[in-house]
Amino acid sequence: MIGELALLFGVMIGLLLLGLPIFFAIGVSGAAYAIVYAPKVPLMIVGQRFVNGLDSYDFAAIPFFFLAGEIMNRGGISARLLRFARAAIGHIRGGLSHVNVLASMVFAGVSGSAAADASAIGSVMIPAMKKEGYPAAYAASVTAASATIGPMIPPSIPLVIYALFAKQSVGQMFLAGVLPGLGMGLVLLAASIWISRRRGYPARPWQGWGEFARAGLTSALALTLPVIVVAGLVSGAATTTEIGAIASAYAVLVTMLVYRELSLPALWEAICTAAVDSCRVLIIIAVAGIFSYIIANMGLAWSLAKIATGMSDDPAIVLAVIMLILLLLGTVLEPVTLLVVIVPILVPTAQAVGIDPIQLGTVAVLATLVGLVTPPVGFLIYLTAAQAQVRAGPVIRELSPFVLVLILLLVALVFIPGLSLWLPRLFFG
Amino acid sequence: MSDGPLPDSLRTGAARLRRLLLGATRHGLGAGLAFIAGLAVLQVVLRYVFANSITWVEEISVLVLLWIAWIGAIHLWLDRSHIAVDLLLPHSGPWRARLIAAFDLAAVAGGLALAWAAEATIAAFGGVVMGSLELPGEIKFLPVLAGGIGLALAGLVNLLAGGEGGS
Repeated sequence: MIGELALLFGVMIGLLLLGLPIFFAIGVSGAAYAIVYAPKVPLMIVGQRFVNGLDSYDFAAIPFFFLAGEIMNRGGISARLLRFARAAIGHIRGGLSHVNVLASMVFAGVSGSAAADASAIGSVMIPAMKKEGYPAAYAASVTAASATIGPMIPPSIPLVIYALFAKQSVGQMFLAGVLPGLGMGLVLLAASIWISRRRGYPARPWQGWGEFARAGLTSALALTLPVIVVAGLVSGAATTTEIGAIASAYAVLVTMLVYRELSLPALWEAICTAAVDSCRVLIIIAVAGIFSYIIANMGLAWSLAKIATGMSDDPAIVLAVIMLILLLLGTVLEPVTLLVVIVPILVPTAQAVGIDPIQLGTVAVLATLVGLVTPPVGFLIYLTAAQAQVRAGPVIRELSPFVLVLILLLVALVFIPGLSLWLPRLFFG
Repeated sequence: MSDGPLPDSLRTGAARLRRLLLGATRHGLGAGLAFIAGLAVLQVVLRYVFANSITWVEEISVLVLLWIAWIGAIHLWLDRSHIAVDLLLPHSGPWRARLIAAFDLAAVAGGLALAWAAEATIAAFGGVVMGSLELPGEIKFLPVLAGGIGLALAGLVNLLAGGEGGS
């Protein structure tokens, strides 16, 4: 098995490090395995697995959640959510820094993607923070760190991917993501307050309860979206895919008929952009079919489970090891690749030692999200550095306290299962 | 004047073809997504308002989703915007253009190999009838065949057009 694994992962990692697209590296490594170990994986199976990877209606939920977020973003929701966040906490010292975090928390409820969050919030907040005298690198770092909340609070695309690959209920995974998502917001807010006090960042005057209520009212329709998603899934009124489509339709209604900020051409642009963005994820899922097939035939998950049970019978210790592996891999691989290639191998291992797969899901998703803000390839670093027009180095330095609190929260998720499991158990039993 | 081994007219023609393909695939992907989203909403409305449902919605949606994924792969290759690990490329200096050309060559070879594998799968599934619509079983594998051919074409167009960006 060692030789087979070396070929499969060696080819994949080699091509990834060269810079070839991830879907291509996964596909070629699977094909290389099929050629070298020809009788094990016939040619017709290669073509079949490139279809089977995506051969489920549930995966249609991914483009639908991309679409809902894109429509809300183009339909003026970011400005409303920022106004609400400013009215709520803009008056505390370092107000704009905290507004950035709070806006990302509420934006997370309409978008399941970190890139969308960083683009939407960063495009407004980074220039505003720079204008008020915050260092550009700090503005970029707080935007990057808080954008990681987006894929944890439902609707969340990584949680959907994990649920489908780990064969768990999407509704339960969404509920499991609520407390960790709110926790991410709180620890980032705490770090933002601590840094702002130490550095004496400016405070804005309190705008009054009237402005707070008005800002809350204008954002209320957007803030209803995550409630619709979770309520729809928990009640069983519709499937995940249908909920995704309903969320998109709701976004169209709110932005076109209520806010009146989305024209028909802009809607079409949003649809095309969401389709293209979702393809980046869908094609990786499609080709991962061959990888899963080979791994399953090798019995790798079974072997790993045996090693894990021999290592320790304490689920928290094994989960901590999994967390460390994912944190390490997350520094070079982005979340979707980890969730479709590595996590399916880990799920049977985790279950063998008594780790709840729902808890594993929140730990895995948060561990992979930390990778988005850690060097060398954390893409949020480069995205927000470009927005702030600074080099990546200072942004990485400014990010360190935020990364530290996210890792502390991750450790809490590992050792306190209730943080992930309390809400799913409350609603699903 | 040409600054490489290819004549300017060929480069310009390839760049124009790349723009055309990018536009066509982008709108095609948008149409596909709008179609399956519309179907899903219609299904919910039919179920709750008319106590009825369409049996073939999931089957057709999965087919469209497969086309979206593989046409999207072609679009993203043309646009050079697939998700990738950017460790080596930003530091490759004068080798950058050669590396990118090598990637495009890999797409041509990989695309043709994929089309070959898809063709073998289609042949194996010929005659099988699929789902409630009783569609031929091989229809599911056509997006992979198209994706393979399209990837090879995208690699070739990018090679001829040169440069780093599609859109």
